[in-house]
Formats: sequence, C-alpha cells, structure tokens
Amino acid sequence: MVSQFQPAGPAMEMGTAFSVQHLSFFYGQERVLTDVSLDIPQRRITSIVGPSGCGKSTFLRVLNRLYEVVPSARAVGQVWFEGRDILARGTDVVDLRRRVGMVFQKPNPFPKSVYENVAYAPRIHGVRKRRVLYDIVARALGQAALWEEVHTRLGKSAFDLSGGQQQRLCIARALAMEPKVILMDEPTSALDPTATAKIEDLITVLKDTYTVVIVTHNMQQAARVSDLAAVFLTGGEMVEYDETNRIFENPNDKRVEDYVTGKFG
Amino acid sequence: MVREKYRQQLVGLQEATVAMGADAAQRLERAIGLLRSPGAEDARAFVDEDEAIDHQYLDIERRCLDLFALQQPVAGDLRLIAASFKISTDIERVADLALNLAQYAQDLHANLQFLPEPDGLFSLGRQALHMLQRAVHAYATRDEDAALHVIHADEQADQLFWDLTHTLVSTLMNTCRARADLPEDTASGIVGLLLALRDLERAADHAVNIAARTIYMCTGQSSFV
Repeated sequence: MVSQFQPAGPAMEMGTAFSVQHLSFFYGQERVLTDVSLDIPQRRITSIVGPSGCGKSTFLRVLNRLYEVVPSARAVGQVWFEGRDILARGTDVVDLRRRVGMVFQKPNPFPKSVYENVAYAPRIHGVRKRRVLYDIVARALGQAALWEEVHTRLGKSAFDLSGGQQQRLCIARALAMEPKVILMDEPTSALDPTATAKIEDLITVLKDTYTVVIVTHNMQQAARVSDLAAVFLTGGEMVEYDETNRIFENPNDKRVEDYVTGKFG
Repeated sequence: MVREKYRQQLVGLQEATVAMGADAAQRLERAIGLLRSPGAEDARAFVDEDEAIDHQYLDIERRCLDLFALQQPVAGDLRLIAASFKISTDIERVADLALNLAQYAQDLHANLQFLPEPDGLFSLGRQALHMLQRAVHAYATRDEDAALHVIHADEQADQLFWDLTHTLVSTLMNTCRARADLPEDTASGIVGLLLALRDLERAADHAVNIAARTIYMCTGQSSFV
C-alpha cells in the first residue's frame, strides 16, 4: 500500500501530527465549530473537553473526515496532516482513515469472530497470506492488551467478550492497519471503572507509538490520561489549549475556570 | 443542589481556616503580652486551649481530604483546598510556638536584663504578630498584594532576629571571658531568650508560608512557596 500522505515538508513544526487552521464547521446553516486553530503533537495524548453540544465530537470527526456521512456537513479552513490539507478536494479518505483510526463511544465489534474483527481491514486492503494476517492480529491484540485474554478463543464470537474486552478489540481493530493516529470518542463512557482503568492504561501505553486524540466528558479522565487539553465551549469555540496540568490547576480563561470547576456547563 | 453544597463546603473550609488563624494570632498576642507582664494570665490556660487548636486543625484536614476524595477539585477550587491544607499546618505550628512562649514567659521576663534593649524582643513579637494577622487577612480576602507585603516584611523580622541574637551571643561570650565559671542562671537565661527569639522568628516564617500559599491560591504561582 502506498499512501498519498507522505511527509512533504509543509510549514508544520517537527512533531506535529495535525495542524488545524481556522477550522469552522457547519451542519446546514448551523455553525458548530468557530475558527478553531491548534497543533496536535505526535505521540502525545490530546484531550478535547467541553460541555454537550460544543462541537468536540464533530472536531474529532473532521480529523478523518468521518463527518462526510452527513450530507449537509461542511468544513471550512485547513487541517494539515502529513503534508496535505485533508479538507482539500482529491483527498483519498479511505487512505486517510487507514492512517487515522477511530474508536467510538460504545464497543461496536463486527458480528464475527475475535480473529476476523481484527483481520477484516487488513484483508480488504489486500493482505491475503494467512501467516501475515495472523501476525497482524496477534500484534494488534497484543498492543491492545487483549492477547493474553483471548488468544485461546480467537474463533469465538466477539460478542462473547465483556464490554471492556470488546472495546479493546475495537482498539485492536484500529491498530491492525498501523495508523499514525487513534481518535477516541468517549471510549469508556459505556464501561465500568475496572474496564475504564484498563483502557486508560492502554491509552497511555499507545502514545509511545501513536498520536492519540480523545474526546471525553469525564474531566478526571482527561486530567489522568492526557498530556494536552483543548477546552471547547458552546458555540464551537476553542477557548483554551494548554498542558493538561495547567488547564486543571491554573487555567487562563475565566470561562474555562468556571467550566472545569462545574460553575456552568 | 450537589454543586451548591460543594460551594458551601469550600466557603466553610475557608472560614474555618480564617477562624483558626485568628485564634492562633490571638494566642500569639497573649503570649507576647505574658513576656511583658508574666502575671497577666495563667499560662496553664494555653495548654488547655491548645487542644482546641488541634481539633480545628484536624477538622480542616478532614474537610480537605473529603473534598479531594469526593469532589476531585480542579483549578481555583483545587488551589483553595491545597492552600488551606498547608496553611492550617502553619497556623497550628504558630499556636504551638505561642504555647512555648507562654510556658517560659515567667523565666524569660526575669532574664530580660541580658538584653541591653529589651524592647527589641517585643518589636520582633509585634512584627511576627502583624505579619501573621496580615497573612491570614490576605488569605481571607484573596489579596495577593497584601500577601506579597507579608513576604517582604520578613526581611525586617530576620534583621531584628539576627541583631538580637548577636547581642545575646556577645553577652554570653563576654561573660565567659570575664569569669572562669559561667553562672548557671546567666547561661540558662540567655539560652531561654535565644529560644524565645527563635520562636518569634519562626512565627514570622509561618506567616510568610501562609502568604506564599495565598499567592499560589490567588494566581497559581508557586515561586514564593
């Protein structure tokens, strides 16, 4: 597979995964993101937090153009990734999504075996050799901290796994394509505290290899796992973006202070 | 309702810390008064009252731990709780120092003769008390400028402390040189005064700590801590 997203020496700082510039977003006439600009660093965990309806999930969906499934959706601005503006015409969105994987709020395994869930994407991207596929599955399940728990039942239905295991299976499914970035949209909101802790541990391990962008309603989760935090407020405005400890200890913006301390939102 | 209760708990924590600070300042003021007039009150009252200060301290600590564990505070709330947690420790230490001073006030008063200008000791006491009162007020009103003033005032307290210490040590050395056998009451008298000076200087240092934590609470800057 040859990706069109090869580093082309754009005006991006070294170590930047995404450079988002003046991004606004609309569903029909309704504006949900307003002039958002930020650089998301490589191999760090960036959390996007904010009240319901602030556009944080929409922002995540811009990063792999998943918003296109909504007919009236329209993004304005630039999002640079590996030397290209992914909002530009001619972007190969299939290739983009291979390099920018997504994990959703609720575990959504395919109605297939554990093995087939992970092997599915590599296979449709042309990997045919059984040994190679097995190695990919084993590596992805290992990276998702699931191998030890499922390697004796790879042929069983994915639905037989617990909720937490299913979510890690979905992460393994994303990792199978060796993406550069993992987007996570409230990945633990449907899980109990034990399963949540496992996913959070996994996220912190993944950043050694991948760039992680996580949307979460859970302030403590953002504080625990992320290196940087971007706070979006109603109207789709990003009002502060900084090191996470700064956001949660001494934010600059009064609105962020009020939001993180629960005075509104 | 839950958030309103939380906000009330934060207000309650700050009020409890201010009240404890006011009590400790009052004890320090009375202890300094005892140095001047040892018969003004029974020093044993300080021992009984110290238990009350300890209870206040444990109450504030409990409030802070509950807020940390149950509310997972962030930003300004986090800084208020963290500052109060540390400040209550400084206040408790000031109360202990006041107890020390009160307990040896009788002996100290008799030994003021070893200081050429006994008023220096009371000046240091006044300075420490003023710094403590101002630091607690700065915390109560979230006044970072007043807190900074307390930090700067410590230079004057330190200077007084070193001048008086130097005078007492010189007296001790001169007495040693003049006489082969240093009278026991002279030695213990001077050492007692040195301890009193150290206690007052430490009280001023705790006021500085309270001011530094107040600045952190107000601004997030911990450079003075």
